[in-house]
Amino acid sequence: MRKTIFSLLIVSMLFWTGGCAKDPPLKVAVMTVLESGSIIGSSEIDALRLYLKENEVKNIEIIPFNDGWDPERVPEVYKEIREADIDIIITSHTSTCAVVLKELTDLEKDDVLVFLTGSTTNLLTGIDDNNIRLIQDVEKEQRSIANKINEYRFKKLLIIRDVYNENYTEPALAFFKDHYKGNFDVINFSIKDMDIEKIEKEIEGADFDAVYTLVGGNQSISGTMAQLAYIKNPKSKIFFTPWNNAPTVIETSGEALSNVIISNHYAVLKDASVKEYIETFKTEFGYAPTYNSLHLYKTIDIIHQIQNSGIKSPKGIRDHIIKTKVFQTPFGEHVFDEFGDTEMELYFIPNPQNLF
Amino acid sequence: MQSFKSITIAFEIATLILILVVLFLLSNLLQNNLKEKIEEQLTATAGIIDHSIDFFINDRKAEFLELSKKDDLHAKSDILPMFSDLYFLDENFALTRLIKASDNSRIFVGYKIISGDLFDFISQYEGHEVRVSPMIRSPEIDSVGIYLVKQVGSQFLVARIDISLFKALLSRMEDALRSMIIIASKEGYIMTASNPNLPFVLVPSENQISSEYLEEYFITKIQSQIFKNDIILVTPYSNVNMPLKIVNVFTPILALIIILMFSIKIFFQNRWFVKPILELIQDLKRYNPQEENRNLGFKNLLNVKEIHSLYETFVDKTKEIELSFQNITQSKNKALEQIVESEKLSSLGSMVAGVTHEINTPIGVSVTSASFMEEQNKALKSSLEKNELTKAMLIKHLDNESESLRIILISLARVSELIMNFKKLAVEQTSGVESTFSINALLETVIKSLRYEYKKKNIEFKVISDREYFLKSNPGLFYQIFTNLIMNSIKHGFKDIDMGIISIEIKTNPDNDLIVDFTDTGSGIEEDIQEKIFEPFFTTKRNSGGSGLGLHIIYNLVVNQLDGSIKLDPNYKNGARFILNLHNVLIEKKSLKL
Repeated sequence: MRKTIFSLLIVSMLFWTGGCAKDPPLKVAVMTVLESGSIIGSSEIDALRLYLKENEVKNIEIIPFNDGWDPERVPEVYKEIREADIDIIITSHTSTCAVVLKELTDLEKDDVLVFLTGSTTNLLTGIDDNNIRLIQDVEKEQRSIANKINEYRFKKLLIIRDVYNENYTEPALAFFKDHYKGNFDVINFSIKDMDIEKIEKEIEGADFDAVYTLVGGNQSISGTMAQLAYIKNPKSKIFFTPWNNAPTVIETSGEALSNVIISNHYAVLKDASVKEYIETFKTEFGYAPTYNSLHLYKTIDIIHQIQNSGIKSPKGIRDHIIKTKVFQTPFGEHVFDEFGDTEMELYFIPNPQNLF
Repeated sequence: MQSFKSITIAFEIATLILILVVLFLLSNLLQNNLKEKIEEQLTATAGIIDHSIDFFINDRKAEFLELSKKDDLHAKSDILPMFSDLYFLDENFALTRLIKASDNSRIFVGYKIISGDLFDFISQYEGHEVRVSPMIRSPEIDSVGIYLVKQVGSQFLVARIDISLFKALLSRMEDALRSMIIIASKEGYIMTASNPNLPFVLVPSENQISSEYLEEYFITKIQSQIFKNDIILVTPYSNVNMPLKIVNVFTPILALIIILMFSIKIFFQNRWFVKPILELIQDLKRYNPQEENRNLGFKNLLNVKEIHSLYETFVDKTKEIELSFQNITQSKNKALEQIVESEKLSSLGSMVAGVTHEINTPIGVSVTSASFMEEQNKALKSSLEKNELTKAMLIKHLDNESESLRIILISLARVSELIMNFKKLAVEQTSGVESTFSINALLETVIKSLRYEYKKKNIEFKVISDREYFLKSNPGLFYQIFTNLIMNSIKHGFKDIDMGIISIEIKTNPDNDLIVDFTDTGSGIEEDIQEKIFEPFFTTKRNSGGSGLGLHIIYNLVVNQLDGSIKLDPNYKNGARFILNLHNVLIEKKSLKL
């Protein structure tokens, strides 16, 4: 009798320790905007869910955190993330938020790793830190856009810039100017404190045959600006940054959409894997995602690849990326440099009605 | 066989487990029942919220309807406080006029709505009634809005309800109902909520534990009757689950109490019943009815009537059994003595039969010779009377008479010898008196006395002895021993064999014990019965009238009466070999007379 009870106890303990001995899933925090059912945040979270489902990944847990892309909220959200014992963070927020976050993560360099999918600020370029960037920095980006606009040899380009996201738009404008060879004017506004009538008047008073909306963050304001430009000059070409590849931007562009040329990190119209992703996403979730969500999909794939080789610590993952550099992802080859930065092609899509 | 202790403990544990299982099943049932009741209640509450939203919207609808009838709408004050924007759209969905409550609006005159949720809503407008949109994404700073639309002439009048008032309504309802209220899109994303501080950022699909708050929520979802969004009520368990809490808390406590009670029961059961019974068993094992002072280790248990009765009954029955055993033993011993006597007489009888048969032959010969002499004498007398008797005839007659007389003398001498031998055997066998005798001579006498038995089988006897051994003992015992050994060989060893040898070697060992090595060339004794041959009544010839006592008697005589030993040699394969070892019987050894 005693032997039976003892044996049962031993077996139970073995099961219990066996269960406990299993590795817990790797927690990954996603800092994004989720307020009011934002399609930005929902696209990104759903992109990660889609990856985990398609690949039957059980050992990664995605935990969303809403920072509203507000730099003032970043410290509080970062604290919540760290209190939840999460070491890996994927962000899609703006450059302004990214700079704030870097100040915090620099204090725990080897204990935290941040994947930037939405920040292009050159303040984070070429630095040996705990940031891994999945998109090129603003200099390379603006050089591409400038070179593209140069091809058209416009008489006058009107740049409409959002100064609220100055950590992106200020260096962006500087680099654009370095490479743009034509004439241009600049109208500044702030999405936080916007006077549409004032902007309307400024546009009305401007002379241009092309417009470049220097706006980030998938803000639908780009669509509004496109409409204003279109009303003034229905023939003007309107260029969007790659940070406007969102359904809401397309929806708010109105008739101006036919004049829009949108830059994109992916060869959307040609690349079958991108098209397949968009279609699968729509089927799964019932709405079209932002193109930024592809960056997160790719990011989690890279993290998963590294995790499968037994590396889970922030420092370990970072060192592996720096050492390995080239990763095969669902959207093709991705190359990192020795600082964890990226250089990518930009593609330009005219009249993006069918983008989604 | 299971022990009483194991059975009782197993039974108690099984009962405990059964009770606990039933307890938890009932608890689960009760919890599920309570949860269902709570969910029903919350669904009703969500319905109330929907009605409240209905009233809120209807107020705006009424106001919007009034606005739609006015021609002179220009100022903010015309739309406040209920609306934040009022658009006038032409048939191409371009804004022709606009009244905004906020300066931060992104919409302007000339703005075209040609795609998106708002376009879908307006473009599907039919009729002339006021239509209300679901909560949809708005072109205003990626925010949300509830829109009202009505066609006025060729234009569409579109108003956006001031979302802050709607949120304020939700907030008031949250305070009243103590549940967070979420308006979600059909994809499950939060469009707006009563509380900016939700414990999760995405609507949980099932009741789930928030990793932050470690609390469970009731998630109640209904579709609003007014707009097609989902109204989700998120109610912390702590607000509604007092009965559930009671069940949750009470069930484990009750389980613990039950476990404790069973543990106490098992403990005392073991202490007051099982352990004393085990001690009782140990004491009973040591029980000796001969002892007057018995050391009882279970005195306490004797206060229990049934145990005391058990013990007394045990003692009485033990005495009865002992008495019966003694009687049986006495009867057995008596019966055995009688059987042994009977065997003795039987062997004596065999001896008598053998002697009788032996006597019969020489007596027959004597009678035949005497008859022949009588006839010869008659013939002689007749010849004499006839004067025919010659010298030759007389001489022949005298020769014949001499021969006949010689035969008669020899025969009678043989008879005399046989009778003398028999007398000696019978006396010595039955006298039981110790005397000094030669074992060699005794053996020879026994062999002769059994000649009738073995001559039919062509059995040759070899007595091997380098000395004549004189013993001081009861010769009758030795007669019995040798007779039984020889008869055993004849009856069993040579049963199916018509010739053979019985060798009897007499010698001593260094301790001066007399060793008798008895072998025969018979069929031997099977290995599987060798251990039993000295047991009383063991025989393989029961059907042939064997008593099974022959070897037992030998054993008894050798071991108990002569204080010696007898063994069967298991390695002797040429027949049967018995080795007798007799102590303290030899008194003299002499050289054999040639």
